[in-house]
Amino acid sequence: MLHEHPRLRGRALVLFADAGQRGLRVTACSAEAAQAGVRPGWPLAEARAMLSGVRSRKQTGAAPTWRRSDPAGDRESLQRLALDAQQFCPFVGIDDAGESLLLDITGCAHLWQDERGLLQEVVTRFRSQAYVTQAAIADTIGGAWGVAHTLSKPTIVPPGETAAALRPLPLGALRFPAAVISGLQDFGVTTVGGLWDLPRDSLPSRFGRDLLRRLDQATGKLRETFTPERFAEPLVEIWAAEEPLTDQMQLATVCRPLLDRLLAALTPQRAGLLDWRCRFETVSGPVEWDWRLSQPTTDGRHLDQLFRLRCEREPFPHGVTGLRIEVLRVGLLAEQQSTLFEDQRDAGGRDLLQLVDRLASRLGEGAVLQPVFLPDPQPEYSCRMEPWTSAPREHEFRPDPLLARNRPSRLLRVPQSLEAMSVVPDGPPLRLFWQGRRWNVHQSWGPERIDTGWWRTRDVRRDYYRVETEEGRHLWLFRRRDTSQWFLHGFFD
Amino acid sequence: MLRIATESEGTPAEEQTAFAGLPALAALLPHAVSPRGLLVEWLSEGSGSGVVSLAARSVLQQLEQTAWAVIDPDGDFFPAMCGWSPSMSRPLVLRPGSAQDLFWTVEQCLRCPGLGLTWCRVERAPPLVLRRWKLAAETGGGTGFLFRPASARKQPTWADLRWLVTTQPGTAAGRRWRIETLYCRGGFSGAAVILEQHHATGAVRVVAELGSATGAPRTPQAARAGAGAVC
Repeated sequence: MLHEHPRLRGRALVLFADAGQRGLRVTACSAEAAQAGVRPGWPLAEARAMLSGVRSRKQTGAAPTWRRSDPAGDRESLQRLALDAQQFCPFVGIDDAGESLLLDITGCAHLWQDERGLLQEVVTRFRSQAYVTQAAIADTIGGAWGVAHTLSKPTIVPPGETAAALRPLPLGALRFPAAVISGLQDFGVTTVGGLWDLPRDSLPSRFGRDLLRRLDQATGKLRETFTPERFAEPLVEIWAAEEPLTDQMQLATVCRPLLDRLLAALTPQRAGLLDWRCRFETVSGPVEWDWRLSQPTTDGRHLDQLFRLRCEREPFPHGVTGLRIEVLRVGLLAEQQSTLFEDQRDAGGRDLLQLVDRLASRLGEGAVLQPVFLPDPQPEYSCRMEPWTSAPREHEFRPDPLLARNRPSRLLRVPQSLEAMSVVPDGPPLRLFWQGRRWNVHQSWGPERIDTGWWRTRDVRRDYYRVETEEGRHLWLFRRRDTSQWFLHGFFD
Repeated sequence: MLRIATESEGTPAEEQTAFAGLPALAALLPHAVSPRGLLVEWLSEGSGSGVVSLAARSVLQQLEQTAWAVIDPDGDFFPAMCGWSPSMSRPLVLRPGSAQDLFWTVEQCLRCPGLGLTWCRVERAPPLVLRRWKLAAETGGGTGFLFRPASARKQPTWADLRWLVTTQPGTAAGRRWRIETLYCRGGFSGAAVILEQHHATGAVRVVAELGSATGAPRTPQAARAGAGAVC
């Protein structure tokens, strides 16, 4: 705003927004207003009182300026800056919070002699436009963000030393929400290094799953990408016909050249398709299909295959008169094959991701899953199945070794009620009545007592037993301690 | 040049033999079997038989080195076996909604070179589908495990190998199975062995069979596996 309205320079400027029931709140302020004591998050009335008091005491200077904040306008301004910054490198994007520019300078530094020259050029360029600029170069997006937001001087983190550079920085360097930072500070953790020293497994249950994600993004354990602002204009291909198409295969034949043209537009930018949308104009109304791929691709045959699989799953009841394919998200392509004979492991990984795309196209994203273990003692909540395409988190897969001994390989979604007889009231079962027949228990192990779930709908109080029938089958049973009812919960298959 | 490069790559899967995690099972076979393109049927009676646990133990090394998929149409798969090894890779869990989708999903997984093991519980599959699965496994180069009810032993199969797993009363130390080779491509069948899995450690060992003149025939390889040897 100061850049677009130079007359506001040197004056106290306060931006505010409606925060619902909390009334009008300050969202941002200039250095002059901050010097007077105004802080983001304050009630607007309090900020007004503060600035009017300062002005009356000094009796000098211009009156403060109050403006309603405009997030959409801010975003547009930042997008313009991103496009302007493409003079330094072809891939420039905006971070999740919409506050910072991200530049992928891979292979570009030599144009300014080295990384230091490039960094100096970027800072000089923005400062010449009267922007307050903080910049950093690091191995990862998270690392560069953290250093740039913490150190006022332009900084270059040497390759491989991102973790060491982040260690002494405050927690705000890792893009945590304020509530998480506050919670960590209550534990006495004030620096990134202090956070790393805590047991990793205990962090998600206390501070949320995003904490580990941000940590790993900063160190590079978890890959982080951003969408370049290069494609400000939507990449769209349109097809229309006078007579409606009713045959699915004909539709696929029409779709293929449209996809090829879109891919041809992406290829020179070293980018691949990640998310795309097909909008069909049918006799009964428009229909939209969205695809979310596991990795950026320029493989037209793969996309064609996904389209045909989706056609098999969701055939159109009526003819299609028009088709519009739009690119929603693109991503940087992985490194190209650098040797004559490709590494089998790389090829295997690529094949697997393409398989996931095909499966998701035919079965739906909700049917292509990955297990995620959670620190919850209640068995049905201890493992959650998440869509594979939602978040590939290979490094977080660390199952508890006790699982293999104590948990069945099949866990019923809803425990089945059964009859059981015990010699003593709270003892192990000796005989079961299940599936219309009697089962004698040969031996049993337990009980494993689980008292939990009080914070959910109701208390869960169970005694679990692993029993072996005379036939050698292993079942997992529990007795509800409040009603003494028996349930079958799983099979040790 | 292509030949030299291929030989020098020496992928781990080519060096392995099937069922490396349970040598006693491998010893039941008339010859060493490669896991590449192998389709195996595990027949067992009813739920809670432990056949999945036994099968997973037999390919533990494969589960650590390669990606694997579990086709779970009933939605009750629980990845407890992942606790056996900290380096086990995360399974791809697939839940097809219909029988047709199930057949297609298994075929796609078997055909994918990126998957080392495909895992599916299937009660009925037409011979044509089984044939397609076998061809898909040969194309993809992975291993397919099909868990089927014991009643399927009367049905024809295109699998390379068919085990019959029968539960037996266990001891205080562990649970027991009798494993019999119903069919093995390129060899004879009928060899059997009794295995016991220790509850606490998970280790599987061959149970010593005391002299029985009417015992099931065993191959010389199985006898060499040794009574009481930890696999």
